[in-house]
Amino acid sequence: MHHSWPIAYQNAAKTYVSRHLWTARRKTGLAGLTLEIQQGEIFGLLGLNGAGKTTAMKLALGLLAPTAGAVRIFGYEPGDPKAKALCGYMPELPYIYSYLTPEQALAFYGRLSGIPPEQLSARVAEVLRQVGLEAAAGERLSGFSKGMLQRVALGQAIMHRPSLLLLDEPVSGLDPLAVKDFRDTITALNAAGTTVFLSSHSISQVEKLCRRVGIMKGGRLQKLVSRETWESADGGLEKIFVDTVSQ
Amino acid sequence: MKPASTAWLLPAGALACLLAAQFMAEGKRLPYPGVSESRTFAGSGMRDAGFLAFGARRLGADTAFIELLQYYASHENHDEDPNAGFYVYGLAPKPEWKMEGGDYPEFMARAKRVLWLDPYFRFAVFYAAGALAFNQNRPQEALEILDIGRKWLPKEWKYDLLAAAITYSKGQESARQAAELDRVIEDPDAPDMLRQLTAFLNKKSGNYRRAYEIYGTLLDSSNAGYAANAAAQRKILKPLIDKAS
Amino acid sequence: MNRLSLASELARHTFLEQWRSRYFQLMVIFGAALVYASLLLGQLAVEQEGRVLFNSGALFLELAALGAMLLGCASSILRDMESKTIYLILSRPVPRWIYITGNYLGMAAAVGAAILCMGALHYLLLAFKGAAPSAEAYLLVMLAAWLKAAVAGALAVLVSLVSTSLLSAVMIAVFFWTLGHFVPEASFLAQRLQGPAGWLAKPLLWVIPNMSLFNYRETLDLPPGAFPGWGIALPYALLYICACLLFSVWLFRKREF
Repeated sequence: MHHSWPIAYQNAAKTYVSRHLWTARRKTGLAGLTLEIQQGEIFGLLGLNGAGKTTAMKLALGLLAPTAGAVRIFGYEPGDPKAKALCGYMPELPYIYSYLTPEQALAFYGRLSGIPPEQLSARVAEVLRQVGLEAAAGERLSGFSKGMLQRVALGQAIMHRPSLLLLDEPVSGLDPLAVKDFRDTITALNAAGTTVFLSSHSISQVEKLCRRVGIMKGGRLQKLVSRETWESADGGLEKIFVDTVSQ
Repeated sequence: MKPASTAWLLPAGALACLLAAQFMAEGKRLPYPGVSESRTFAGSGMRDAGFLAFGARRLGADTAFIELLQYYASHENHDEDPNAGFYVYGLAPKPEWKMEGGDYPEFMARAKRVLWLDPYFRFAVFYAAGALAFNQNRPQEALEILDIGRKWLPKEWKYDLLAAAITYSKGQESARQAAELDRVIEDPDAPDMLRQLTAFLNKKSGNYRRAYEIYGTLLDSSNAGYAANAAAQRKILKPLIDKAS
Repeated sequence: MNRLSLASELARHTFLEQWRSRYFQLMVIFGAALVYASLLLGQLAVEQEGRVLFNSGALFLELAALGAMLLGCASSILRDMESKTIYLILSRPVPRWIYITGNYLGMAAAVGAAILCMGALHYLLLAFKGAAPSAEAYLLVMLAAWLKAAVAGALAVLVSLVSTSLLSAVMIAVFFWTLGHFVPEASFLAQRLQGPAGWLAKPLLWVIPNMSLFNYRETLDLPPGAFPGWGIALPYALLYICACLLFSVWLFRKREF
């Protein structure tokens, strides 16, 4: 595997086993995924619910361990602190302590990400501006809307200026204005050199942001489509997606 | 080649720590009577076990002692005698017909329960021995209580003084009894009952000044009867002291 | 960021989280109320009010600290797992053993602070009644209570990872805490048990924490040398806690989310 690839899946598979008494039920989360995300690209994973998108992301973060195959982040194992230091993760739902304010949350996650104390306040202020939460910096998250929580979630993901951003369904539940803000932020980060790996249901968002898209179904990567391909195809990415998942 | 997993070091280290800890603590215990020596009383077993389970022997002894005091103060035989309370607290000499010691059959067992829970409860030893010897005319049992106390506090010489006072009381030697008790009541853990008795004995022996001093220490006793009696006795003793001097 | 800083950040976060928690606050207030209520018990003891006030207050303080520690330790990691707030911690360069350790240390610090608050109230009451021991002795009483809670709390962390149930973790930890006061008697019985009962009882003795080592409040009237000594109590607590946390890390290292 090429060690400069931000993410490299080498035949990675994940089987979930649920045990009850003497029986065990197995469910395939991911089956033999081979994929390399290139430096500086915005890559999208598209798929229906249960296609394996979140599984692929969690394997990259070390939250799950592959049942077979391998995953590497900049050449490191996902569980390696060196790999995690290079990653920023925004989960599908904002799993952040609700009693914190955005300022406190960003400072907490920033400290855990290794931001030196002398740089922390300035960085927190900068990120709050970047995600549009300056005005609400001192309010508790428990009173926030979904969109505001997503902004905080994005903020904590970018606090430590990661080389790789993993965004799981980043625009789900956001209003159109928030979606545009989000897209602009991601585009700006990518322009500054950050590789972005995102998963989504939203074909239109993926079309606008990504250079390449992987279409997943039943835990398998069914198709890899480049921007040139879907821009030149009849029906665009949507038709390619529907045809792929309907097979 | 993948390096060998070192994960086994975690449970191995944990086991090593656990064994080291338990080895270090082997045989270490606080010097209290064991369960096999228990002296539970009238359904107190569960409560005493509960106190042990919470590591609260002293509090268990405190509650057992409170129960002893309540038993001593509210025994049904007192109903026939309006002065019963005064005998209990040594405020009045008990009529001889009551000196058979049969009014408080449970007293000894209850006292032993207190001392099983906390044999270092010096106040309880002084109180129980004093009550048995001087109020209930049960000197042998009083000496047995002192023996229990001495077993766990062998250097507690005031128990020996109290034992001597009990022996002198058997021989009706009030002056010598008073002299021994005088040293016992120097202890802050000596109960007011013993101070009351010592003052009475000093007065009986003609040591009015000493009796006056001891009654003075009872003026702020938590027992209202003792305090009232002390005040009254000091009024009686003052002119006697002035007359003597 | 070095590992010590990571652990202290997690500990700080857990400390603040606990002091914000309604259940923790209720436990501390309840403990303080019981300490105050021990004044009533003292009234019953006639000339031994000071002793009863000390004994009952010290016990209530210890029980409140234990309750707070067990609930906190048994629920903290489970809650992070259920609410998935753990995702944003473990997706960062935070080693799992640091997460477990930092969490535990924060809980221990929070309970230590609670003990200091309740202890201050208790000491004031004792001083008001003229029955306060020396400040040094009382600090050692609080230290012993904290060590007891800390040992039980480490056990609760371990059991919570085994059972993944808050209730069973707390109950098992309480069971072991209670048994820990009967270690000498349990040893005596185990020596005499034969057959399968003996095979089960003897290994269990090696697991039960010897809580009598931390019963300093029961030794204030004992002759000098009766207390096994801080030279035993402190390393014992440290080793037992390390054992529990090492087992916990071993269980947690492959946990998936």
